[in-house]
Amino acid sequence: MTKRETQTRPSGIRRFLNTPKGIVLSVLAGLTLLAALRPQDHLVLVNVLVAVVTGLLVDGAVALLQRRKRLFSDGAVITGLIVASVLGHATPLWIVAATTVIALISKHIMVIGRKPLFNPAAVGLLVAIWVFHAGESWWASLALMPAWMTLIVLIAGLTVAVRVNKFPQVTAFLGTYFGLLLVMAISHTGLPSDTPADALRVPFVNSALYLAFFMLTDPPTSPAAYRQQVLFGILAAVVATAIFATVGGLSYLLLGLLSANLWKVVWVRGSQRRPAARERQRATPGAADSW
Amino acid sequence: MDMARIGKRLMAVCSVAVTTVYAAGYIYTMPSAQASTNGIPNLSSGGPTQSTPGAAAKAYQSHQPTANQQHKVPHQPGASGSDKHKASNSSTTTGQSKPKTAAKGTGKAVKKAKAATALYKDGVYTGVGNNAYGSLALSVTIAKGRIAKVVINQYSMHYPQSVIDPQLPEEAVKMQTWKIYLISGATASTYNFAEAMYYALQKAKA
Repeated sequence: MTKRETQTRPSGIRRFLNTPKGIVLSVLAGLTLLAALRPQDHLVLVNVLVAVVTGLLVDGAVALLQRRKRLFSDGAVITGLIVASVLGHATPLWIVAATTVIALISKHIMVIGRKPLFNPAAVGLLVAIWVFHAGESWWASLALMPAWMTLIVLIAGLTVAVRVNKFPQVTAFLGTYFGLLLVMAISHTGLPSDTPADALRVPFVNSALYLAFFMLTDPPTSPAAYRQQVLFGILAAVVATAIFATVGGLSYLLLGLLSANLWKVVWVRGSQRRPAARERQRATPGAADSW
Repeated sequence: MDMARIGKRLMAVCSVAVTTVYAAGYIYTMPSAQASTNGIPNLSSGGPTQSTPGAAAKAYQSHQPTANQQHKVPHQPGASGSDKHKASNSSTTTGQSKPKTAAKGTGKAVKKAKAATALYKDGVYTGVGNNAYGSLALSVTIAKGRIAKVVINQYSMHYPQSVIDPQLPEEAVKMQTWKIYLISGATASTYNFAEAMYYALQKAKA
């Protein structure tokens, strides 16, 4: 290697930050720090620290068990960031830690091949809601910041969507989601406490954007081919909106995502029986490690 | 398959299409969004996307502190100015009642003596708090002029009821006020609780 080559070669960190995971990690960290600027929310960084450290410990332990050389898991950091960002500020630290553990264990247990079946953070958060009765605030989506700051989420999210090659999926999800909310409003359907007017506005729209840009785009749990990406996005939005219209709450987005994850598994299983589709799958692999 | 296959033009078209659908929904739902902010007297609506402090916050501004609240540090409206909060009071509450209630019938001396012993009339009073996160209804039992019991009767917030119940009802009884501490992470529920308490206590005012 010549001296010039050595000089122009990007450092390890810079190289990592240019990868899809590096971009997502830096964007999520940026949004988290920005959201924590709110005077009431400084302490929520403790939740983030607990979630990230727990995640690193869990994935590090799994790596040890599997005798992997690399113990540090960037995917665990991202999962920890998402978990802490979605759970409410007042969530006890043990619930934050437990949610992260569940999320990461699901990543290692519920797998097809080497890829996780479901978005790990979504699994953990759903268990936290149903079992621990934890609240959600999606605070890192800048939901509690001035409304104009949603633009920052949009710009950061679009950057991620383009860089991880999930733009069709994100636009399919958001287009369908907003379209169905419009239909709900026109047809006057839905619950009195969960109206389309709410869902289309801050703070609710922030959670949908956060899910679309940073959770829906998880490479191993979402399809790579564009046509499947569009179907995946539409399905997630349809399920989410249906639950929003009939049950309400805040877990409708997570359930929409997990339903689409499940559909992807079924589609992959089906496609494995078809030689042509199997070839396509091989040609467009997603990353094995989830975020 | 790479991103170049989509092309920037198609990406722009998709973005415009999604934005158009969103804008259509946003504009169509403007009347209902504005209606939810117009219910409160003196609550200035800053437009559908503009965050507005909850009714409880407004009430904080207009309500005079009582003697037993001096050691409390009620949540300051300014501290939550960035909270997305579209609050309204339910039509079933005494939302039109003013903080200053008119004295009726009794003489000044009798009234002063009564005020010294009892802030509120005995009975059970209800109040409702609504905002973008959901609604909450409660009943306040007044015994011997004091808040004896607070029960949340209806709760349809996005946060679990356990986040504020029984902490806030217990605190309201203990501190004898609707000005309760803000529970971080359950801002909307806390506002709704304070708002519902405020309206219930307005009904109960002696």
